[in-house]
Amino acid sequence: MMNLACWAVPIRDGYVLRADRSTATILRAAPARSPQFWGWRIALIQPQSQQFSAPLAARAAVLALDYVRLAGGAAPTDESPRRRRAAIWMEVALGLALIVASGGHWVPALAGAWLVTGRRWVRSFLQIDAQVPSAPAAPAQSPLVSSEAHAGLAQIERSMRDVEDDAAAYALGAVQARGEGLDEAAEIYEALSSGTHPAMLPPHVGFWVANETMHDPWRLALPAPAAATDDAT
Amino acid sequence: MQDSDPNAQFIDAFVVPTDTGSAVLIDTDFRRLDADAGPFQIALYSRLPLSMGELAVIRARVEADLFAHAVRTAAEGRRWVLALLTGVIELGVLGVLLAFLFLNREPVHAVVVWAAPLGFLPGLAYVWRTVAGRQAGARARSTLELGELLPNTAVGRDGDSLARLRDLWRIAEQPDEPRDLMRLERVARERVQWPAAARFYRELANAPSTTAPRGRLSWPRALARLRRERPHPLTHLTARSR
Repeated sequence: MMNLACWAVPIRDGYVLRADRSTATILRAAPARSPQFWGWRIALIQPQSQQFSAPLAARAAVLALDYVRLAGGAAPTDESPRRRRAAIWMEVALGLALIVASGGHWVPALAGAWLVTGRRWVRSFLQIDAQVPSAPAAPAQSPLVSSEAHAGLAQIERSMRDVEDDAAAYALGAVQARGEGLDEAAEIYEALSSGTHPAMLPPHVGFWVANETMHDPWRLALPAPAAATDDAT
Repeated sequence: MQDSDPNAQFIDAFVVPTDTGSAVLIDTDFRRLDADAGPFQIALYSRLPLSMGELAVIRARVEADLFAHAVRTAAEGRRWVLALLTGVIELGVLGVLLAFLFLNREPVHAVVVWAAPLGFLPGLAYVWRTVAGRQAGARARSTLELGELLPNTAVGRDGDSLARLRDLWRIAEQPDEPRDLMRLERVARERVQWPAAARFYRELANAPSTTAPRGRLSWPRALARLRRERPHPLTHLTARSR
């Protein structure tokens, strides 16, 4: 299975879920891998919240990762198309120059023809430049989602808790996230500190999920009051 | 963090000091990993305890770099015998052309003699790369077919690696010395003798490569140094606060 990471960045009313920046690269490479590894093992990166429920957040996490899969670009290649085009143009120009300068002699004309078209034709005929075959990849198995506490994210959440004003709290969160090297979280806080409502965040920034969706009431840190009532009776 | 898998091939991840805190450096040549021998596992060398979330992020980033590198490299040397054949044809054409030009000396041919290598050398270089990269290509294809990065992280236990990391931190944390990237690069290169870390700091500082050696035979020495510090994929996560 592929090891993917999805950030659950804490905000005032819930979390914003966003795929880690490695996700796009992993999913772009997936079609070249064997289909047995196409499953997703998602680590939900969250602050150390007792009430955070990975199963409840799983659907939103899959949505965030699937957005990256669908918006993903081309597969990684070893040479940029621009560089390749420049090399081809240089070969063709030199080949034509050789043909023109040949003055009717067959040897330079042959060398020019080799440069203009011969080399590329031989390579394509022998399929020397053929890429490794790949098929379109979609997760065939249901994703495995686990919840992993992140110390830096927890520290940011704690420091934001002390600030009453929302915009100021998000601005502080953005600065701290940059300092911690958490660029994904910083971008979310920067967007929110400008007054954007979490529901209006663009999908490339993240997906908002409210507290009531993410928090599992059956996992409260304190025991339910029902036990005390039973003792009194 | 769990114990290592007995069959696993380790990808060494080091938490190294930086000017603003610490960062993760992956010091493993992906071209040498062979998925036929077993799954891959991250071996973490760190003085600081990392949370599970941080480990998960490191794992995802390493997975991304590992398989992107495999996709880029997989086509290398795939049909190297055929590529070698085209190289021989190319050399033949170049040889016949040069022989013709020398036998029929005319003023215009002087220009062609200088221009011909520009057209033919890239093709020959391509053939050379294909033949030289046939093993790396085979390993990359094996990584794509069989490779899996294990979901747990092992504790790094290699003595040399531990010693290098300890020395780097000890020097970085000397209270009377500044902790900037240039100094860390110098320390990594000269005192700790860790070329990958030196290159990592250079990349982190976004600085141009170090100056070429001076004096006689400077370019072969520069080439030898480049080969010694042969770049291999480096993953790094930027700073955790101090």
